[in-house]
Amino acid sequence: MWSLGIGAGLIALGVPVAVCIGLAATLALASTGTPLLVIPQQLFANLNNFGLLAIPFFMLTGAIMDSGGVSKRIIDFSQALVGFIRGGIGHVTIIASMFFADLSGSATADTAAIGSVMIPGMVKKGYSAPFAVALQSAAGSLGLLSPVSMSMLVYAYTANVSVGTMFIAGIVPMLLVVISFMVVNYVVAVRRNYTAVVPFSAKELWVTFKQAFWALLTPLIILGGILGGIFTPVEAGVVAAVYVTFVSRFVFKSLDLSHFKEILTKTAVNTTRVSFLLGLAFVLGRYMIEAQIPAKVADNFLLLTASAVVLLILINLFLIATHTVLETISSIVVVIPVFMPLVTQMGIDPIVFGVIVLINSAIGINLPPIGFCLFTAASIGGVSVEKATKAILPFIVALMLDLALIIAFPQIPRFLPNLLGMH
Amino acid sequence: MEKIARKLAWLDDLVLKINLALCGSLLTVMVVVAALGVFFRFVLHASLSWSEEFDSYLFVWLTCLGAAAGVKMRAHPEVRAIPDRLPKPVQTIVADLTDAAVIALGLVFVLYGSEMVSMMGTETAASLPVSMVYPYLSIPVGGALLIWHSVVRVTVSHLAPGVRQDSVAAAHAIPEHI
Repeated sequence: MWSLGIGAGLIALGVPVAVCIGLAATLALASTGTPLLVIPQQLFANLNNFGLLAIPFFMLTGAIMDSGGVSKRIIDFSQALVGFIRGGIGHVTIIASMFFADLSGSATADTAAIGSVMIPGMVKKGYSAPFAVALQSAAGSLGLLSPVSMSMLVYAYTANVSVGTMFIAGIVPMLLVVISFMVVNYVVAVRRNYTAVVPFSAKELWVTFKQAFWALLTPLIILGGILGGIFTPVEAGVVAAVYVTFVSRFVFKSLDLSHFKEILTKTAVNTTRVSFLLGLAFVLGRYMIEAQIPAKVADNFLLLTASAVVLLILINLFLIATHTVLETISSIVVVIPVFMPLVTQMGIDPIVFGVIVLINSAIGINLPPIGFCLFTAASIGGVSVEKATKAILPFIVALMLDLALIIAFPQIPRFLPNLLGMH
Repeated sequence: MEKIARKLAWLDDLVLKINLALCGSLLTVMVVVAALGVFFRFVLHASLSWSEEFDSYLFVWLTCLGAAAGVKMRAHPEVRAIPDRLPKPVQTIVADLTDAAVIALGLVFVLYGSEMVSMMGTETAASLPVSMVYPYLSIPVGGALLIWHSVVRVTVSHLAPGVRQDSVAAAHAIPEHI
């Protein structure tokens, strides 16, 4: 146990999370007298898994799409779709962020990609800068729940659930969050007298839809391929990567082959951000199971209270706190293995729990004063985090309500998987 | 002293560049092989027997090499909330401690990784006519690179604090760190 404490202490001192996990595992195994040869053995065995290749392939797909000016097409289409509603530019930001799938595994990167265009755009349309920053920050977390989210993929690996089911389960909750954000934006727009951006035009909608079509198809290829039982997630990832290369090169004509080297290096490094962490977390996870730590945590939580509701609230608070200090993927690989037995014991569906975890993460990364997403959006918008704090609160409340709804009605995330006959 | 430090920093960047080029190439080969796998399975209806195993080994290599590059580029997720608020002299100590931690993990990879290579390297891969030495080697090599980058950073930062270590400066542009 003390080895885990040392690991946590090193994390607090700014040592890379993956390194802390690796050292905690080393100390833990050494203290039980296990030969340390198992560390490279386990690391190798865990990484030597073809299923994990979905990570680099999804990331490559995302990186190629980003370089090809896809965000502009998505923003144009979103504008034609919701720009006519009151507070239009805010709705555009929300919808564009929804379409902008979180393939990179970093909600902050998504916030930066859309935010660099939309925050100045909102301010130009008369939005106050702190509200624009808050809205973009909140919207940036939508990628976590998008059907091809890297964070969901990592959750599925960690909790050992089906990737396809997880992706599908996130869709209705994502729409719920989208609607709640749009309500917040609408109410603020009415109060502050923000207007629409453009009148509705069916022709414009069609034109922008055609321009965005090939980009919007990417998540559908991945999702359709996996759900139809045609592709494994890895195959879907490689098909998507090849597809976006062709589309960016020959349809959009935006992909310069000279950029390709940079895209590959960036993707390689981003991949190891996740895979190194995941590989070492699996090593530590195995030790923890042998030491029965998750079972002990479960017992202690159950001693604390017998009420399932109180227990869930405690778990949620804990998860939000973790996600505020640790970015989403690190939190998932560190915390989920510890909580999984407790969650199963409480009879919570691991798929539903996945959605709960991701909404907790959305709250955590937006929570002032140190939520990552809020921090990024604030620095893009040139606003201090303190100023954005008040503006983000309605969105946090909206997320909390969505979370409460999902906990009270697990049918919300289960709706689509049940409809499609997934167990 | 500063001259040596500059040389060392230059060499460090060179190692990083080569490593990144390798990582990019590994990723390219992985995509091509996986795409071939899909093509053979769905179009030619004759699955390749080796593509998945081969790609998985490349993935382990990519992770180990990329992890070292990530340390040099400070790309790994880390929590900056506390260390960035410490007084400057303490920050230096904490930075050295970070490198010491990376070196310690690198040592585990090198020591026990090479033990694994020598103990289990006699095996042959399941679907490829290749000794398992080559896949297993990824871990000690990755460990050695982890140690190298951290040792250079500590040395350069103490010998010649003025020498800018580019990648370290760039780290503050990564929004992931708070």
